[in-house]
Amino acid sequence: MTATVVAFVFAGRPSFLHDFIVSFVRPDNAARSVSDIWDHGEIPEGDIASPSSCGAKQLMFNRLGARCLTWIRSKHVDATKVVFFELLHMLGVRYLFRAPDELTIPNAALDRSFDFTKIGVAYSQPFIIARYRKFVIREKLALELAAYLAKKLDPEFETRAWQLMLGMNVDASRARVSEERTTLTTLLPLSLCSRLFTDRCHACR
Amino acid sequence: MCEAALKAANLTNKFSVTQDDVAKVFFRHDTCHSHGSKLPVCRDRGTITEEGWLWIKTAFGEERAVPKLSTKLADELRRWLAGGNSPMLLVVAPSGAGKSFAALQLGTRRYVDLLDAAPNKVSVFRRWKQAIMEEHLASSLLAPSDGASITELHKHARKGMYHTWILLHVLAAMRGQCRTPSDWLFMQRYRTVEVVAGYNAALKWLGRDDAPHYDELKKVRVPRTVLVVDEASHAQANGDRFPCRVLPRARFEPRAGAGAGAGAGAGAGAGAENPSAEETSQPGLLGALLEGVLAHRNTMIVMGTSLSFSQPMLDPTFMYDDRHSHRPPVWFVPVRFFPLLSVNECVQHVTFYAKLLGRNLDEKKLRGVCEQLQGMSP
Repeated sequence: MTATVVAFVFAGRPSFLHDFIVSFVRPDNAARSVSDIWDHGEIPEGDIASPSSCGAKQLMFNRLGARCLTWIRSKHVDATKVVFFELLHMLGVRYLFRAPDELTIPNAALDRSFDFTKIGVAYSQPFIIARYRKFVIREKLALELAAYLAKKLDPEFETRAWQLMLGMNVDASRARVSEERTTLTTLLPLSLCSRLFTDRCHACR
Repeated sequence: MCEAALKAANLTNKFSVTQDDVAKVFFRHDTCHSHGSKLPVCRDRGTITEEGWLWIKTAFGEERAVPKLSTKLADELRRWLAGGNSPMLLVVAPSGAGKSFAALQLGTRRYVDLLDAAPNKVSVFRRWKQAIMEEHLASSLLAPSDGASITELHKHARKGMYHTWILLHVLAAMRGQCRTPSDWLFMQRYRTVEVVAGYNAALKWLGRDDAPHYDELKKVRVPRTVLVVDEASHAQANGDRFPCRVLPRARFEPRAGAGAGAGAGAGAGAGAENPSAEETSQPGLLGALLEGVLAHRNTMIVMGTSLSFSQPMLDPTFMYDDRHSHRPPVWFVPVRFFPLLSVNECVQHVTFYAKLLGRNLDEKKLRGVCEQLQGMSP
């Protein structure tokens, strides 16, 4: 059980590490600490004048954020913005509480604005015959990315809920807490976990 | 035609990647990012590229240490190819999940034809697309031999197949001149201009009087190949939809077992042969490519960050052959086969680079960073 928890909590796609290595081997980063190389400064807006003004994480979010916005703008997401945010949020909650099932969306909706794989947040498991696709977040950093994209798209939308979710994500990455989380999710159904989460959201407003 | 292509591509003799080739592409001394040619550096961006490690043994033999790179997805691709269960595999995952790199890893083990549909760069795919969408091909080459009249959509379908077959023949000829899968991979990745020049020469040849007719070309079996289309969503970008008709179901034949070898090419282009066949949908360029590939029972791996590119091909009327309904012709790589790196793997990887550059790292701090790197804020 413990091994599974660790594998679940600490997992990242290859490009996360690649982006770190790109910054790590830059000669102008030789004197910096590894944590500084990974994470410092603000996520830049638009083109980056100097890569050393922020960390590898910020550079990565900048790049993925720009790609996401380009795609979303081409899809006229405005018409479905609320649904988009709700679904993105639900994806995050499902990851946080280790939901047994992925988020399922009809294929027909993908041409519009709900392709969470395209925006770099989730993996997808197609369900051809039923014409559905399942999405799942697999990495903690992807949850942070989702929060960043949500904020970038609409700074007003559910900011506190995202903050709380990220806060819980931070806690969950420490072994002791993640074990608690496992116990919680083992004992409680997802709906109840979501309910608890929502209650906490309301409480902190 | 293939001779002209080989000449234009400077492939009249057998090709092997040399130490000098690899050193020039990846391990250059003239960039500070390579740290005295210790690290493989991307020629265009000047930043480190893991791709260079794939050729490190060619350049430096066994003496150079290599970081451990996950082969999880590449292994899965190989397993799928060995299984022969379906002619097309979809690999869909978010950016950075390791799709393209897995295709390259696969290409070091077996011959793979790579088509990169990403826009704004010189590529074989771009030239193939241009030939289909913008260039005239004599109607006499496409018209049915029996004089039957065909619709515009049928003409488009035949043009798409025709150009795909030409492309596959040219790639096969070039591939045949490369001694190992890695050599062919290197040629495609780093001598793209030559490969495109070879394909161009073949396209020019189509303007001659002795260019092959569609029906002739159909009978010439394309050598067995695995075609990988990367960045496939760009093959379906806005305005690029190629208006050809989908061929009917009967073209999907088993790839192995009874009947697989018999009558090679007999079913090739069956749908395009039958003007009365139902026109079901418009699959675009990707569909046209797939038609050409499947007609000779070849295999295609399609990669991208969105399933939307394959939507027309997910239409059951396009996908399934009733006679073989137990075998879906399209297969997906399940989520679990994409590599996810653990903190330990991250620590090992960073330590490798630190040692290479002579930097000392506190393992505890490094572990902390690797935990952050996987998503934990400090």
